[in-house]
Amino acid sequence: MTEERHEELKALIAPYVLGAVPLEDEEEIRTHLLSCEECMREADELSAVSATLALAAEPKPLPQGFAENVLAIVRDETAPGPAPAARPARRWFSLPAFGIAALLIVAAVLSGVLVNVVGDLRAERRITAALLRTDAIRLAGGGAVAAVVQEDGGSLFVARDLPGAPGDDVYQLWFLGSERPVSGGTFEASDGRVELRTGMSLDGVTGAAVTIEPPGGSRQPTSDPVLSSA
Amino acid sequence: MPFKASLVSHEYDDRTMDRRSDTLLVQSLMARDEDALRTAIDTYGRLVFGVASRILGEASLAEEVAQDTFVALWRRPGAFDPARGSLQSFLAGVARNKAVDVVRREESLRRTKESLKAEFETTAGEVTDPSASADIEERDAVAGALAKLSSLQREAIVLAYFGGRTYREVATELGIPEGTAKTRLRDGLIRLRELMTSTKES
Repeated sequence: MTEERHEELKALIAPYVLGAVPLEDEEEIRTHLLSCEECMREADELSAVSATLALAAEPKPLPQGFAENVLAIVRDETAPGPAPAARPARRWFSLPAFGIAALLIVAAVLSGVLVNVVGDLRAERRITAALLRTDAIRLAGGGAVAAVVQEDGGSLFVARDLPGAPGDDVYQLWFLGSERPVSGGTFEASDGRVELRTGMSLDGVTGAAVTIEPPGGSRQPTSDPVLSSA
Repeated sequence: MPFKASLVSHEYDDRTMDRRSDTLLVQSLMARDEDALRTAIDTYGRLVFGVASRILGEASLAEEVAQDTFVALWRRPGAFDPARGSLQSFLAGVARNKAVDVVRREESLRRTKESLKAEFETTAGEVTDPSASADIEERDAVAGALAKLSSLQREAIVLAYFGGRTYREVATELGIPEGTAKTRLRDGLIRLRELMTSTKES
């Protein structure tokens, strides 16, 4: 990176945070931001402003039936299909008693927070940092890499080079180490990247796995892991 | 194994939503609570539709973009990060990006410089509601700051952000060098930040 190119790219940050650079220039700006603290600061400052700009638009009364239309679309999507519910559990883990653990799993699915990482370079940095942490539980499979690390108030799962889950299916993270896998939440990959915060501490967790599950996730894994720890 | 129970609450019924109720609303969405989606639409639907309408002249397309915005919220409520701003600014921003995608695919949908300019000059800075909730205060601060920009800065920012133009297209349309367009956008953003900060303090 020449000093001159750095200055050119820095001048593009305002257009970039306004979503006003041609698509072909975006990648170079993103790559540069990852390694340039000065430009990243500029992007942080300017994007704090551009992120609220849409609020300048005057609200407008909604067309008739708007809410009902949206609800109809999402109901269509969440209507249970015939197949997914019937998928049997896979036994790549040992499967002991069914009880309170099932309740914990349901609660954990709900607490997983998927952070949209598109265009978020801070996220890319956090992913890299987590993957490099020496205390990380590392996962791999199919060319993708992932890690789970302890964070304040829970844990963070990150992945890179993970393709999108097939069809309507989702990925689901499982913590291993107790009697049975405990769900860390469902997620999708965005541009191959994932950043998923879970409310779960890693105390007692000895490994982790990721499976592909029907929309909404499963109470126990129903497929072989696509990513697993060593 | 220890875990944090998710707080699913219905305290978001109050229309004056603050950041805390944003988080509660999103948690209810994650729990697949349809009432939460309805609340989100009741609260932010007009704003989202307003943003889409500003960018797309055509009402049916704006409606589609607004619908898409809420469907996206339902699919991935976790994409909203309360640390990065309010839910209304998140949703307005999603609607803006979706609408601009449509405009970029179909150039004939672009609104003219003149019509965009006229709209933001006449409405910006109006006090929307004297009963001022946190949401309305935030919107007024942004609209008010935009109204106080120099007309050259506002024109460039409105063309880029609401007009869906790249900085190069802004330069061509305004008949200025690309470097000037970039500088105008940057100076405009910095001035906006100053203006918004001074509103907050006053």
